[in-house]
Amino acid sequence: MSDVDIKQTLLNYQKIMDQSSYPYINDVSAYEKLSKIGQGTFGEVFKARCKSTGRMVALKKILMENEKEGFPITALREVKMLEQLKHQNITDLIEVCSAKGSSSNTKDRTTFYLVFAFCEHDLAGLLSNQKVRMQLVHVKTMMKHLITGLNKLHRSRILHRDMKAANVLISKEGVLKLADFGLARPFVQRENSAAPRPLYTNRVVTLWYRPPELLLGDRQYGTKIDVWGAGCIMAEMWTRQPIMQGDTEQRQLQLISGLCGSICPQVWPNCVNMPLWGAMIAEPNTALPQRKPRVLRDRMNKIIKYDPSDAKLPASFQHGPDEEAMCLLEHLLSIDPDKRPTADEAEDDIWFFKEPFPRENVGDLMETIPNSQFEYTVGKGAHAGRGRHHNNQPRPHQQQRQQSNAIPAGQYRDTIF
Amino acid sequence: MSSSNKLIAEMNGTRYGSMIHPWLTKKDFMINRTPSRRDGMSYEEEMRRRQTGGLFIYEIMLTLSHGKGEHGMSGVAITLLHRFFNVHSLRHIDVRDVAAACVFLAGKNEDSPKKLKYVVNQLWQMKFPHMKQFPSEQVFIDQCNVVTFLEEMVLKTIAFDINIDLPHQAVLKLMRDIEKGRNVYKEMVKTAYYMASDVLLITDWSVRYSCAAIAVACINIAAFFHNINMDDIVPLEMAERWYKLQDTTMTRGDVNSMTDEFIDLFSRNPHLHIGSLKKIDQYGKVKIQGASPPPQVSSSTLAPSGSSSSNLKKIDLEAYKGRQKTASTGSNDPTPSTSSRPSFLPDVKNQRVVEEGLMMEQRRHAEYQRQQQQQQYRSSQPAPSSTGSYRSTGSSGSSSSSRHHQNLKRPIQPESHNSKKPRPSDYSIAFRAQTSTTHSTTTTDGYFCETTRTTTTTSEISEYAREFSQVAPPPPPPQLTAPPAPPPIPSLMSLPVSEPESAYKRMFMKQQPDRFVSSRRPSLKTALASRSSEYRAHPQQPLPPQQQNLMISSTQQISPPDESSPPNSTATMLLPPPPPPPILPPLHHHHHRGDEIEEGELV
Repeated sequence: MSDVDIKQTLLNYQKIMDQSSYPYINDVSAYEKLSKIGQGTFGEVFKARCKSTGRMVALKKILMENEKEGFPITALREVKMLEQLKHQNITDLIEVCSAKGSSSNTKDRTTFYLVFAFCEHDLAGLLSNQKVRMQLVHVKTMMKHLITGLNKLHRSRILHRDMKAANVLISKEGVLKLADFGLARPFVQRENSAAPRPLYTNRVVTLWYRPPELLLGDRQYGTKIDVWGAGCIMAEMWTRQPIMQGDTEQRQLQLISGLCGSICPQVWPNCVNMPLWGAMIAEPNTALPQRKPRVLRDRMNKIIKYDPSDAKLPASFQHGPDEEAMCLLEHLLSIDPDKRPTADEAEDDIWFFKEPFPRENVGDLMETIPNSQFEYTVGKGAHAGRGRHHNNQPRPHQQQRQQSNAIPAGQYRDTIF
Repeated sequence: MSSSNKLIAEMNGTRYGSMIHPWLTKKDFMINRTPSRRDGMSYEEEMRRRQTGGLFIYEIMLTLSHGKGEHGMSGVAITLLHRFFNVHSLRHIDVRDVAAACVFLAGKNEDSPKKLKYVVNQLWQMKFPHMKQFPSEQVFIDQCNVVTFLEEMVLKTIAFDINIDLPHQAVLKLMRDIEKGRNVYKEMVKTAYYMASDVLLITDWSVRYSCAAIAVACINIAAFFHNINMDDIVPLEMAERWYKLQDTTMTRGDVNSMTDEFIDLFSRNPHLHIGSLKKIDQYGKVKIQGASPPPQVSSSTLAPSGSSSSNLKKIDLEAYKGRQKTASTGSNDPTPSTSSRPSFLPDVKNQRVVEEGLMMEQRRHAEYQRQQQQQQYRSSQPAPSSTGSYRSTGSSGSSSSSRHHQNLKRPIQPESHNSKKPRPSDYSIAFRAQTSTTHSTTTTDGYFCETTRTTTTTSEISEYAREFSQVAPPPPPPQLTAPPAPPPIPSLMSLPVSEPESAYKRMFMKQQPDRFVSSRRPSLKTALASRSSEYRAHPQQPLPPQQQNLMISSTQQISPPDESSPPNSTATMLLPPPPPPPILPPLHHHHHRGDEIEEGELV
């Protein structure tokens, strides 16, 4: 066998495969690309229209250029999980399309596009737009959707690992959807088992939404990391901006201590077992200040006073969120992961069964928002890993969906057994 | 048809299982309308190539997972392969390249990715075994490109329909439902479970049946090999629906046709006996057609016929594994004769304890004689033949004991499960074992295979027996699958073994005067005498009288050939309950004690 033979084999295969028909996969030409609405480490995102049905979609291109190990496992995981997850509160993967990559002559490879149902808004954009007036019933409905979607995710044994307002999309109908499964992974649930739990990478979750156990280097985390994120998002519904915006991991821990009280063995017995606990507590300017009170409740009430939209709110909301809402928020933002409710428990929280009842959707809220909000500048999403830009315009969601740069593209091994 | 694509729309709203696209086809499609057929390839050729792909995946998975094999991954890989070739023609594509790509993709899909370089390396070694290394780095890169290109093509072909269901969980769930938690048929479930992976690899079921259907078929096949009739163990209320609990379109006809298809495939293709299928046929229920010996022989008896050293090594290892299990049940006896397969019937255990007690005693007795003889023989024996018979004796010892366990169970089976098997045949076999000589008992091995499958009448049996008594012994009957005798003792196979003992002895002495020293004779006789007296001295032995009778007589008659013709291990086939007597003394005359212990460990 010589070089020529193998090369010839490859060329033969390419020829054969080129001539073959593929009955089950659509070509991307079935969609008409309208505009580029986002770019990130994992690929570009386009807004497009299905030529046959007129349905609006988001096309997410899978980048293959830097892959040494064939098709990226992260993309494969994402497709695999999204195929399993059919839920009204989880972003809907319609199909995967292929396109003959005829760009440069270097590698004549196929390009694949994930085709998502198009969502008009993301929550981060919606919240940063001060013109969007949200009532308590909207908040409650959106939280209900969020937690229902999260519950579905966790019941399917999947960790999202990138919960943040920017990854929460809202369709035109006012249905909230969890998106961006670029960091998600299936997990093993071993209860009552002496076997050690698998180790996952702790370089996940955008810093502002990262729970204390991840900041302390835990690698055996579970579903509760997403619950913390849900808590952050819930608070953000009222504060209209991320509640803890640290720029380093130490700073983030200090912010958490300042808001939720000190991280100490009294509130979280297991914290001393965290990998970074010993090193961090010994530092002179420690990231773990002790004897800080938990001021979450006070702060929430104070922040809500500043909300300029209170004129339109019902009476109960004008005095801050009601007691049940505060109770749920306190639980979601528990320092000790074991004290946080599971998504299942949170879904059954009493708050959702009190007046005003959560609605089917927040369609009425969507109607108040003007529709032409897609302004896109290339690269906006690419560097947005540490947070989002504080402009007052609601931005297209897709650029935010790409900011999973906690893990560089192609780093697919995040479990160490 | 159980696998109709309708189901995809009917079940679970829009989907059946996690399948998105209609992958399940019918046999008609596989025979007449695949892309390969359109390309002018015959059905047989296509199936052969697909099976090659399956075997390739099996091999590559074994190496990549360090011998463990990963059931999920190989199942996913073979499913991908079949789906791929239901869209593309096999004609111009090397199935092994695609198989490697499927393994590579399945690794990622099952969340335990295999490094591309390992996959490609393995692919290369299996494609070009004569070249250990890649000739140049460029070839390696090209080969990598082939695999990654085909990986993309697989993904494109299957349109990312990569949530692939496997039958394993369905097997467990179905048996749980059937047994209602009694967990009686553990071994059978185990067989069905492990079989599921291998069945996927050698059949095209992954694109013809839902995984629930495959699970049903696996259970039915496993039951067949364990002498269990599913209809007997299924609770009354699910009598006619146990096979459609999960896949409602299954019919009894489907179950039977799948079972038949598998048995047919199994019997015609010994080369497809991979993984768990090697040992599936514990009771020798399926007659294997083709050149190589039946699988139940291969695990323990092949050793004498094994021509290549690697073969020997593998078999020894297997026998060794079997031994360990036996040892854990209570015996610390390191001699090879205790190495029997774990049995599936409960009452055998007690039996074994009794036997082992017996054996210990006998062995101690024989040991003494052997040591004496060894001292005599070592001086007179030529060295070269020693290694050859070294292995063969060991394995014949182990195989005979395992045989013997099978035999023990056979008379019990007809009462418990298998009403098909006619009792008269048992008697006639016993009768023949008593009256005829070794040769005819050897043939019953093949005969057994026959009877378990098809009901035979007594007249047929006697005719059969007559036929064999008429056949001139020298060329052994073909369906004995006569393992070619190993070099050292080729003449033994052609011995007219149906001679009475004295004549036999004469023949033997004539043919191998150098091996047969006359001074040995008396000691052997005493050994025999003491052995048979020992049998009689154990009245507590829980054997039916008929068996006991058979045992004594056959021991007496078989022992002479045993002592001289070790490789013909089938001769001990009919040896009943008490383990094959330590016939070994004369055989082991080349070796001293230390060797033998080592052998016991090894086998």
